[in-house]
Amino acid sequence: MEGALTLPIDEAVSLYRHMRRVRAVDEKMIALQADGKVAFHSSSLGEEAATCGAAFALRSNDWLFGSPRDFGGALVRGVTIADYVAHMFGQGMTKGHAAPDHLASRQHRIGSVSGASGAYIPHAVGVAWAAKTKKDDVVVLAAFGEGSTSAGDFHAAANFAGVFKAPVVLFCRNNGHAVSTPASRQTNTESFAEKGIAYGIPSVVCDGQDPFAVVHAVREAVARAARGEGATLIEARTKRLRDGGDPFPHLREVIESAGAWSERHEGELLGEVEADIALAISEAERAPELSRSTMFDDVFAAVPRFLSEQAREGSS
Amino acid sequence: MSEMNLVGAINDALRLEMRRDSRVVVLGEDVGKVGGVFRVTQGLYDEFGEDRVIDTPLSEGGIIGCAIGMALYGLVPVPEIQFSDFIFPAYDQIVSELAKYRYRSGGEYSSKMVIRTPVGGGIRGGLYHSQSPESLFIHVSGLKVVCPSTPEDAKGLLLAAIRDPDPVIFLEPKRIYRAAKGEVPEGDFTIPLGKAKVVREASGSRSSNAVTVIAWGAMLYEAISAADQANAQGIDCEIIDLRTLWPVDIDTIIESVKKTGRVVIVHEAPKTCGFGAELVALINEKAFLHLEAPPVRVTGFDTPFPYTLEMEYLPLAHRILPAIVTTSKF
Repeated sequence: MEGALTLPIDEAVSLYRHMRRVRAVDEKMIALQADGKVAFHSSSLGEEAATCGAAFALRSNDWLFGSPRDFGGALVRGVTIADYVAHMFGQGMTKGHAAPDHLASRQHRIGSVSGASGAYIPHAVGVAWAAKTKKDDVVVLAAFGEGSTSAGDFHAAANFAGVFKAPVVLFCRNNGHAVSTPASRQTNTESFAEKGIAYGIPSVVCDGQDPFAVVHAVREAVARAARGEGATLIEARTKRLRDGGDPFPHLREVIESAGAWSERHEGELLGEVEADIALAISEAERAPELSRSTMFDDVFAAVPRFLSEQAREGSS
Repeated sequence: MSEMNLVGAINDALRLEMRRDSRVVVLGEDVGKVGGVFRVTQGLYDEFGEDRVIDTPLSEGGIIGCAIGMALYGLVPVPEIQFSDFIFPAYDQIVSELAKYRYRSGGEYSSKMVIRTPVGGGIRGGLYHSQSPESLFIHVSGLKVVCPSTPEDAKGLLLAAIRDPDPVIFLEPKRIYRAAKGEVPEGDFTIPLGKAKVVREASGSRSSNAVTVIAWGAMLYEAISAADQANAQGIDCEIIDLRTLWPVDIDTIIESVKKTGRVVIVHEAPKTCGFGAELVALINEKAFLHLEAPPVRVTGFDTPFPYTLEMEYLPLAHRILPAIVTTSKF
């Protein structure tokens, strides 16, 4: 944590608020999962600088594709706690079709989260490529764990991004572990960033625990892409909380020493977030159960007859 | 009207739709400057340029994966997979991503595209240029599957597929790419997805022992040939060209089976879990008491597609005819 890079103080406070909020939501979801109320949650404890910083660095027109672990990026992009919690309870956004932490929001330009690691990286390239074709000022960021760089989709996506100069940022969070598998079993290269060389994509390594470094790296990559110079691969080196990663103390020290944050601010923020979560949970628990027929919605644009016949089978 | 073959009709449909709708883009291996290995996209690159007719790297997963993103952004991609035998590197993208995008996003997004790909054997292509993988896509919820057999249908179905809101796998029977010729209406017209065509109606009543023969793609012509020979033996055949495999036009099938009580299903793909199996199940569910004979499948075998013996593998007329005769006399 060199702290050499900084942000204007209002941005630093805003980023801190996002990260702190995401941490609080994360802790609550872990507790709900332990209670059996939420079936699945991809925690990002300790890696908030990367998940939130990357999303924070994007412009409002830009798109974000991420893994389940990038739920924090969705919250940064504006998904409300109420919408997020409803989704976690199998309601609301995605209408109970997708598992928790597999959200999608056109309003916030967040692609549908795939259950397959890295499968969405080509989609991010495709969105970027289409935006470039239409001459729109849009950049797309795909966030993924280092394990995804072993999957074919990463390589296909990086190759297409290189060939077609797609305005995309490939944002690799390297925390050294894919579930149990160490980074040394994902690659024999010195870094994950250097994989960009093979595809003619500039690569950078940044300290993924330093939110300022993450925001700077992503903003530079976004600016490059927006100038028509194509894709960038960023390797953000992160550390899970259980491995000793914690991006908060440094950031809090910066905003406190600037006089922009205090224990009172902290208390107010946490109080707000806890109230939002509590309200969202009580609403989600009171929400009417999904009707059986909704299972058949959204398979096709309209429910075809063979499906409506199946929907009637065994229904009371 | 003008006479076209299948290649020309598909090319005509693509050109027409690309002129009409600037969102439509064609992408794939060798589809641009050279116009595709079967020349289906010939001339499109010159007319529409490299942003809309795109030569891609050799990566089917990349082609479909990127096309999904293009569709999310509002383009209408029409990717070509050079041979359906090469679609499997993209199978995960098609099955786990494309087919489920609308569903898993709760209708927030759709990823609409038409994947064109040549299918079928009989061109001395061996096991990597001959397969018919339709049932592997029909089994996946969220996909529509089309396989035309005539130039007019190819044009009208492709235009309908491109305008359809759901992803469509458009299977092109390569054996008859140039052999199937026919009059094709000029200009814009569509043939609705999900509608089979009764190519030949059985004239007689049930007592005439008429047989319904169901086929699609290149095998339609084998079915017609077999039906002609059966006719010479006094057996009346009703021939149905499915055109859209999924959602299948079950009404047309059931109406015919209720009339004849006898049915022979023909497809190139291997027998086990081929689409014929599903058709037989549907017929049993919906018309069991109308059946006069067990439904029969005449299909490819449960082997890889052979090179030297490909004409033995294919369910050609000489294999269909005995099935018709046996079914008629059952």
